Amino acid sequence: MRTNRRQFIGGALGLGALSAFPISAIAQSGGTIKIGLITSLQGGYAAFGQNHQRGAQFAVDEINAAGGIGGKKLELVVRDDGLKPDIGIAAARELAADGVRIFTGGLVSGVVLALNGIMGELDSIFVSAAAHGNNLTHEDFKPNYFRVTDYSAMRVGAGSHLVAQRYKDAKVWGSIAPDAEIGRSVMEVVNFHLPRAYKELHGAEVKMTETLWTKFGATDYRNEIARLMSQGIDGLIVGLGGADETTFLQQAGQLGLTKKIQGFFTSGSEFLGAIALKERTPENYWSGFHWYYGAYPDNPIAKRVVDTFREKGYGKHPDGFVGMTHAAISAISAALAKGAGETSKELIPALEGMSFDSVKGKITLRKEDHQAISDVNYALLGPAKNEDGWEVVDFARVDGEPFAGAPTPGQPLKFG
Amino acid sequence: MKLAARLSLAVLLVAFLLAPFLVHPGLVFIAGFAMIQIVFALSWNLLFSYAGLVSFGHAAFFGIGAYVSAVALRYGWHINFLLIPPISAVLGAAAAFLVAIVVLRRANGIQFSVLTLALSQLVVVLIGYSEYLGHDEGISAIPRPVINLGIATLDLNNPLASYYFVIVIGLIAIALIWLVVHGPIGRTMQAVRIDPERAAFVGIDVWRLRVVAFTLSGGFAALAGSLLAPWAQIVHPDYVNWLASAQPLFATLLGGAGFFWGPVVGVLGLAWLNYAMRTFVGLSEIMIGASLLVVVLLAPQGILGALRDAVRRRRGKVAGEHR
Repeated sequence: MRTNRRQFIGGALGLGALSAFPISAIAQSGGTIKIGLITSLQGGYAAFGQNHQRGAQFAVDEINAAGGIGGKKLELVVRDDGLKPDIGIAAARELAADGVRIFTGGLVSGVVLALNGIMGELDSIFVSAAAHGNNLTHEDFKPNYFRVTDYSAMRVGAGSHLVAQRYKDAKVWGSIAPDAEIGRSVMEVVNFHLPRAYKELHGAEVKMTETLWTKFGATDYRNEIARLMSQGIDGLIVGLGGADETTFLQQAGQLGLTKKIQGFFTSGSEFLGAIALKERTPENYWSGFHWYYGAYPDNPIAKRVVDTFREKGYGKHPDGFVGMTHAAISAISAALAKGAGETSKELIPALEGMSFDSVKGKITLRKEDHQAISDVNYALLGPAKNEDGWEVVDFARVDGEPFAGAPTPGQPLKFG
Repeated sequence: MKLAARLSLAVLLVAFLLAPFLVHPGLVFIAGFAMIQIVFALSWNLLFSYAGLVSFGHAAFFGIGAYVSAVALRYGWHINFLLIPPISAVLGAAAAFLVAIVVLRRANGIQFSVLTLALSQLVVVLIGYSEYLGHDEGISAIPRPVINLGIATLDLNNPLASYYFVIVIGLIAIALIWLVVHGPIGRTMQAVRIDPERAAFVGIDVWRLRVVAFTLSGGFAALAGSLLAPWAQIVHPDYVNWLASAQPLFATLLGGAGFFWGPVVGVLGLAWLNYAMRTFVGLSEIMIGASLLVVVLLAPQGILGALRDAVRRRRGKVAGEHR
């Protein structure tokens, strides 16, 4: 029998339609506890999302290998949010209909805000492993939301303190940030913490020059770099993120800015800039991390995660996204092991105020606003003659508690 | 053919109405979202297939409705939510009217399209500066309203009530758009689209008609946007940017430009593709892109165009052939 083109297309469409038919594919079985991981697995965030998935899967595999929780195995169900809030919501509703009550993941703040808004309705909890927005544990706080990582103000505050400690003689600080809410928020924290840290640590006054505001997606920073070089700065705060930050660092290195100053820090780009720039990675570059594995050589959990990551051939350097979903699953399993059931009514009180062991050591989930009180990690990166083209020159574990601010769920974060 | 089309529409209507009883809540959410996108795409197609104007910034009007509705709910405006969709439509229409009388005086064709794109991006930037509108983070955790209907109350916190609210308002909007394009204004629009010079020659005020079309289209886009806040419970600048403006364009081209129901088929096709590919992590974008490419290569007039040609071929008529 010969199949003509029309029959083939018809058959293919029919098969496609069947594959999309919404039959419950993950019906809840009695012996497993399902955890939904919603993260971004495409576009510019795919690498981070992939590591989210890996970290969570490592934790699930470890717990299952040790016999599960109360005889029940954990099962990770992964969904891509496509970087869009509505796709994230559809995924959460689909999983909730299949009996999933525990969610983790969350890379893009828009998606996390959307998920945050519906967790109560779904009688579920969301343990966020990366979203950094100050608002999630302040003005947009929801009781069904927990965050196992630090957040923007905490990270930037700790970074300001770190550079004040390391660069005693740097008295003039410049800054560059995107002209958007995230950039303004970073600068608000820096302007509060950096002068205060110099005063406390060295009894010195520090001069902050006028921030240079840029547009998202800019490709040419030469004018800004020239202005920064003419300001006579000793140190620099880079509030740009992602690809913008990499572009800026490349041009700042080429034009000699990063050699001219004593040091600079960026709050949340992990290994991203160094991996992209390789041997062109600038000197004196402090990069912020959700978790820097090298800062925890004696932590057995961290060691296990690093070994597994390397054994599976995922690369040499697991990033903070691996570590934080691992921490999220650790928190969830600790609450379940305490006897909490899978409903939000049981899990929320079990998680509130709970301390648990993680890749980052002891993390406590603050009772009032469900924010993790933990270390804040930074690594000093620089160029190197090795196969990566860059290396970690130094690192810092800053106690995050003084920078976490008072818990004010429902209220915006305030300084001063 | 007409009978088959009517039957298909009836089946589609029944599927929408019975969705909460047939499929899981994740798919019901997608169905509600698709209804909102359908109204938005039809409002864009009103311009494209009937008035011959291409807007690359239509999401700005959708955004007006979305943000009006979001702030009304988030900040607890003392207003019956039933009035929010019409108020949004009026505000969207007013904004579109202002844009039209300025832009259409000066620009036509591609200049018009690019100007609409620039204006919509300006709206995104302005939202980013506004604390009231939640800056770049948007407005989230939007509460669903309880609507006082006089004799009873409609609590949209009930998932069924919320779904049917979106479907009913969406169907009313579709009916109104259908009436517009099948009435005298719609026919005049078609005359202008086909040959503006000849239309002017027979006494049609082309500029005024385009302003009317743009105003109506902006109003319907804002009405669609007003349904987003109670449904998705988040409104974000991503729903206003150029990529959001491209969605009705994709839907119309996929479903079939020149057909009233083309955008409906396109929106449902895209929603189905996105849903079917949701577990093909990493492959989904490639497969959706490849599927669209296949449709464009095999059916340049969209899915409905291909179906029409197939029916004609079966009846022995070939498109473009004179008999």
